[in-house]
Amino acid sequence: MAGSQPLRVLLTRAQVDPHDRGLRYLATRLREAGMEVIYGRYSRPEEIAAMALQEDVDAIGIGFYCIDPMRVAPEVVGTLRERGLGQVRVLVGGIIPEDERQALLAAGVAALFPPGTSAEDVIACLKTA
Amino acid sequence: MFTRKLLEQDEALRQAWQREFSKVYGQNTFPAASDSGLSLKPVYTPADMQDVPYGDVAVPGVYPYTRGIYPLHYQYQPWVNQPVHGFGLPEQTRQRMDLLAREGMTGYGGVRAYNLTFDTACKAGLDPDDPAAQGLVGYGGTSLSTLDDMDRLFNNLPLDRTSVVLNVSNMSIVGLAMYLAYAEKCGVAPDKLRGNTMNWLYYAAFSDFDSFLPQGAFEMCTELVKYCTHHMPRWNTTNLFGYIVEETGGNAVQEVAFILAASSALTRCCQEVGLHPDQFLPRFSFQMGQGNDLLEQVAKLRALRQAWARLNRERFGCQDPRSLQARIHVHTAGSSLTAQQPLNNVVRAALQTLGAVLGGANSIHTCAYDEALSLPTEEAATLALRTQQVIQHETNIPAVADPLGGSYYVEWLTQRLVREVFTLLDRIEGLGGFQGCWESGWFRHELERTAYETRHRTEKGERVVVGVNRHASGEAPPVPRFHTDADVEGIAAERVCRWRQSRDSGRAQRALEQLRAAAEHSHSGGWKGQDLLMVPLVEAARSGATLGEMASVLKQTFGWGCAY
Repeated sequence: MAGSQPLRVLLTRAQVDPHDRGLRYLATRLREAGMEVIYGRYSRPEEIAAMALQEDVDAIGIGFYCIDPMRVAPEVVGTLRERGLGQVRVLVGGIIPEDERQALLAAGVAALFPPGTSAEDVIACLKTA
Repeated sequence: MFTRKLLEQDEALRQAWQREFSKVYGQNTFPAASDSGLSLKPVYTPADMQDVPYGDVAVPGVYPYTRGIYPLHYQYQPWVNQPVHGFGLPEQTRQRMDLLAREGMTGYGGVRAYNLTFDTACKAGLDPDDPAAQGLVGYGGTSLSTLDDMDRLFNNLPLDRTSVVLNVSNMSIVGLAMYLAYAEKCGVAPDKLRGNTMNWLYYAAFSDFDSFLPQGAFEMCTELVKYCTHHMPRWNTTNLFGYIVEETGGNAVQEVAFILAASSALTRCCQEVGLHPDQFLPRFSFQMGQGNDLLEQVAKLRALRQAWARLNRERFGCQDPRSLQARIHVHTAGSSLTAQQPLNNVVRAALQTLGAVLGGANSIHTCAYDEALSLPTEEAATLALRTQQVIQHETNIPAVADPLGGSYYVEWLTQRLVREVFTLLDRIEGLGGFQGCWESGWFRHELERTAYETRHRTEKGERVVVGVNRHASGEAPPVPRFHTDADVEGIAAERVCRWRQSRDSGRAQRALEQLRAAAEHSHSGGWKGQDLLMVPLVEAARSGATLGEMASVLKQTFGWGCAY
């Protein structure tokens, strides 16, 4: 993407998950850092890739709070690749079981942000594309 | 409430204090504020509570119940340790229920009590084989979609001598119908059942997730209250969920005011269907958070009791003392737990539990220290139970009711919170009441603002979180993690498919069509009728309809999504 264009980031979590405090905070911080944030909830994993395509984003952040990341994130990465969007990075935040972390990274998730991560860390990660 | 002579003496002594202060600290000031932003002085004296009517804070067990709803409290009825639990398959949750019961978890009067929560799929009204349930099954609670699943949870428990909390959130009415159908199979009549539905259909006003739309939500909440009022005298119908306000970022004032607004809205709906508040308010109760500002949280519980009593007597004409007595379950603040140095959470949860006890909570969930990492392991859940048991048996706090009553600071703060609560409650009424503020997104906006401020102050280091932004050095030893079995989703999905194949499909379909007709009639203005929804719901459950199938009919009829 061109250097002068602001980064476009899709932040998303499951429609049925009431936990959203962290992701909402992150949305505000990313906007303050000059990024364009699309905040969208999904009901099925395949909708995430569709939203990413439609919104032409550079990265996707998915928040997990009472949902299994392994049942969602790898499928998102796979669908993005199938649709020729392999360059869109997928970041995963929230409650990420320790024994799933290697598998998530191996499945193509770009970075993991477990609880307590500061927004600065996410911003730094997004900026070093 | 003090004599003029004492106040004069107080004035003189405060001047003496000011002189001593100036000698030592000069022109320095020591600004401080409570977590809800109230400015605090460094010391409080009788002058600060001279406006408090003595009758408001004199004795427990007497209106307005600031000091407690009973003349005696823990001396006679210790708080009940009620950890919420639920994960994976229902038989796995049953093992946890049995473990906690063996370790001393009991309900009121020694009755077995289980505070159960159902998984995210159930709360969204989805069966485990629904494609939209992917990743949700067995997470955040236990999977339950059929009466067979009910049996896996409850088999061989004497339901008439067991108290169960059925937390199915949005699907409260469906969960209750399934429990009634299951109890019927066990030969236990509705009037013998005891426990609690959450009736939380209003809580998407505070928290951004899909739910029933406001009008339909209140119709179903009202139906549940009405049915239970007529048929289930021992059942607690409605849980006033302040905890979600606290967890989404709300402060003490917002938590109490927002939840009293929800209660007021539901009370008015129930009045519209011909019930008097004294018929149903005794079966409402609270679930409040317990955050880190220990004394403000103590004052919050005291303020809630007073505000609840005043609201229901002054605005709803209640006469029955039970309508005026707030029964409060406290959930220590999950949002205060940290993934870093997780053992620190043992201390946080213990202090919050102490706060709940000093505030006079009726029952308590103490968070397990590993809840920022996963659902609790058996060891962590047992330690959380032990935390309550140590306070109960070793500190001697239960010997005296409301031990902080009469503290100049706590009484000032309590009164101040009550005042702030009614100001905010009136503001909400002016903005269109609970439903108006839900539909406009006003609640969400207010909560996002306070959540942002809190988090931002933490990120900037102005608000200290030990182990996160202060004293964060050093590697904490790893702690064991709970893990939901990966095959739960597959097993649950296969079970519900088999269930559908083995039932009398024609009967189930007919019952679901009757439910649809009843729901449509209800939502087009007929909701004030008698047992309109509960009867066809119980029949649907009886005929083998699944939780997801019943939920689907209700979603299509009452509207489902985001209200704002």
